[in-house]
Amino acid sequence: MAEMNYQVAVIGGGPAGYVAAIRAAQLGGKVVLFEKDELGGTCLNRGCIPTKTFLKTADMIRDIHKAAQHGVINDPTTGVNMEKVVANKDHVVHQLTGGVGALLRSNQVTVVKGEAELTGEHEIACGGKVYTADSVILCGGSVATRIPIPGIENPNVLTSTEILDLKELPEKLVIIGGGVIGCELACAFAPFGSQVTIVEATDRLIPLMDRELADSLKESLIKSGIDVRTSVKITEIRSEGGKTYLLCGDGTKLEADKILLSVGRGTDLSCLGALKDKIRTEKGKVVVDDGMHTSVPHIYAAGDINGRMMLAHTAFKMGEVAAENAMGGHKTVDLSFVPSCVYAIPQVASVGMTEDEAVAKYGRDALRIGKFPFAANGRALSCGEPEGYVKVIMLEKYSEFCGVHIFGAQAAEMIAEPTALMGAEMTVEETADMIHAHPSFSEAFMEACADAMGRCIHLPKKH
Amino acid sequence: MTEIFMPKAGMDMKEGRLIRWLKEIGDPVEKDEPIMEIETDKITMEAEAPATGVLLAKLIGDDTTVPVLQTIGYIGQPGEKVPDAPAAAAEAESAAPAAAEAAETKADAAAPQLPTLNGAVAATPYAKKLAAEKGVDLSSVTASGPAGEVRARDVLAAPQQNAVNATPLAKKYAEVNGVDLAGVTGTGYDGKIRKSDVLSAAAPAPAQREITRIPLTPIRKAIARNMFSSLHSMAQTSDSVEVDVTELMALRKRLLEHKEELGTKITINDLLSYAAVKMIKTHPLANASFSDTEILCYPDVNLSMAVATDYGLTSPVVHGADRMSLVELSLAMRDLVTRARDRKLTANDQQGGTFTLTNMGIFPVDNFNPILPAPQSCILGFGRCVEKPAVYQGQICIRTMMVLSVTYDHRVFDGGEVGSIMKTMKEYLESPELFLVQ
Repeated sequence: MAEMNYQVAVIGGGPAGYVAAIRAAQLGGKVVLFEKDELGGTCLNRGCIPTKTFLKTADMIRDIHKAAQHGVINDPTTGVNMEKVVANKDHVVHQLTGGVGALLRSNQVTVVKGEAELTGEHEIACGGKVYTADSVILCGGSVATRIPIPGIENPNVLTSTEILDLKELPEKLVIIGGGVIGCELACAFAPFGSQVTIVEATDRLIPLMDRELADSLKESLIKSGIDVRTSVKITEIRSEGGKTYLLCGDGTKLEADKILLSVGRGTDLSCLGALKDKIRTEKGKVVVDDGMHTSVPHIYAAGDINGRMMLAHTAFKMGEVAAENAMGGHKTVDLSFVPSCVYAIPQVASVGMTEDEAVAKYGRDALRIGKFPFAANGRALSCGEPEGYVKVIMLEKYSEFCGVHIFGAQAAEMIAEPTALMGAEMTVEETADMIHAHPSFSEAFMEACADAMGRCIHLPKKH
Repeated sequence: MTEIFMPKAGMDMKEGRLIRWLKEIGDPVEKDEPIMEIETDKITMEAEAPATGVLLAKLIGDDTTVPVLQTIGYIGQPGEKVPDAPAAAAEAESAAPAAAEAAETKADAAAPQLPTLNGAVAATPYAKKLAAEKGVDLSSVTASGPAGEVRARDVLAAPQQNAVNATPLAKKYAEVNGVDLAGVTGTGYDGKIRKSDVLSAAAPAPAQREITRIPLTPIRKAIARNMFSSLHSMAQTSDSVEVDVTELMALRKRLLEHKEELGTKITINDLLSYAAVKMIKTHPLANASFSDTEILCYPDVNLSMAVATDYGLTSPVVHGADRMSLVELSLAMRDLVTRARDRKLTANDQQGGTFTLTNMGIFPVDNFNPILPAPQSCILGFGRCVEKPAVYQGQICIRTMMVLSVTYDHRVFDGGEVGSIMKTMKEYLESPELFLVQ
């Protein structure tokens, strides 16, 4: 039994879990990690990474369509071989999950395959065996939420997990939910050749992002041929004559070969086991403080399971902090400057407050908004990516960054700069003075800062 | 050779106390190694060696207070000769700036003694040169020159905002809000001052909540004056005893049944008051007052009652209470209380009291120390009547109990008399027939 005693036990091998396990091991802990499926969690297996392989395929198709404009003589007829799209995805995923396994091995973390749950405050059962640990870090992650509409059990209704394994391209794809996942997959399947419709119940896409960006994205998606319907609810999914239809609240009826259900994600609390009534939860999320402590001493919860911010990169940080504290540290997580990216085409990326939040906090008169369009950026134009803009929200009194929002081809890469500067507490004023490489997309950020200061060189004089 | 100065640890620091040297003369020291402990007006801290070498000299001993930037020791190579101790310690300056200043002052024959004016800031030429080199704003420097001019040592001592380890945003917040970063503790990496640090340093002390000011009414003033002078002019002493009022309560209940015939609802307070008045018959010193030459025992019992009203405490008086029956006393007291609450007391109603009763029984109060209304010699206080376990006829049972408190003027009588008063009161209240027959 001796080998079943650990300092730290981690349940779940996703971004929070594997990072927690590695960090605890780095700090000298004897660590066991339980994973019921594949290492890497939703991010690597069913989320961030696989969707990006699809989106790269979509990007290539788009480039091929645009190639003639850049002088390439080619046949712009394109199509996808879904089996190969999926195989390519699987290859990338396999490579990354394998990498996670290798990292865990190199840190001497014991990985146990199987569904694990707490049977006591220091006790975990997995595969008929009982393990004990001084501290337990719960990283159970999340699963796609289902909504109770009639016909939701229709076999043509897929979650994001299932759609990534489709070997055949659906001719008509209806996406329920215009959040990050819905928009990204719409941007993949539309260039593949599917006729895509997004149905969103609220009045806007990507509800957590800045409204202006959401509106811009909607316009772009519509322009690229995606049918975007906001403020529309699905009332029923019905099979008629071998076909599947969605009945909408506005009276319309949509035909679909496949339906993607992407209405959000809910926590997976199965790992709480016998302690499900003892560990405090709120609205289905495990309640933690900034140090990732749950209501039970020596039990931590990191990642999606605590619902603080369901992103892989916040899960990494939370896992690290949980591990430090499980090993006797006193660390906290600061989620003030977390970038969020939507890998739609074009991309959307944000850090800090949205304009609405900043106005609510400081009032409109206290703010200056700087904006610079990629249409005025040399590099963006050369790349044939003139769409979008960088928007900087500044608290004028302190020249402080409240938020930076980018809409455009390179948004997800570009957001790292404002994130770093905001974390380092650089001011908008100084950023406007920093020399940025020319020509580069990143200049647009500097120019937006200068615009907020009222001294942008490359914009016409404002009256 | 390098001088060791008394460091200037803050804008306002004028002098510092050397608590003790941490090194002996001849000890090797490393640059930045703590060599002494000093105390400012705010903190105690270790100060570091300005150079590597050996400690050549200590110009001041432990526990000595000197102005900031005074030379207090030297570090150099073994065998180096220490210059003669500075003649005027209080005027000590770092040698280099002083020399340079002297040189420049000599060179500038046109204005040999006057500080050069540049804008509004008066500064010596060398101070200006240093300020320019170091990017120090002269207007922010505290001047120590005899004519109020900024001297080189002031520039050297000025906190350099740019050198402060703070984020740009933190500096901006400090600038806008007028926070001196030198006084802010950083929580960022390696002590870097972040925005939140400036905000917590700038946060005003919790807002002082307004004190409610209630103007003194004439009655409040009178109560204050009377209470204060009473306590200061008499030898007041208090005692208390618990009495069993079960029988008294039963009596009151029986009397209530006869309220029609009696023409009044006899209250427990009526009974207590009546018993007290009867007690005075055998204890005339309780109805007396002290004068410097004699004790005055009053022929009548003018019973004063403490009555709480919405405008303050009043003490209306039942004159000649000793000549009244229980019913008469009850009616007289009710009349006075009603008029007191209706603000209809006459001057006469409030004069001539010789003995006072105060009843706290409607509140959860048992024992208390009443204050004597001068010049009366005795005040009796009644606490609440409350059921509690008590020993009665050798058994523990539930009895209605009350605490009787007394304050008396020790100049008029002593503890023996008060014991006797308490004994009588206790007997009367526990066996009511005894006072009813008086």
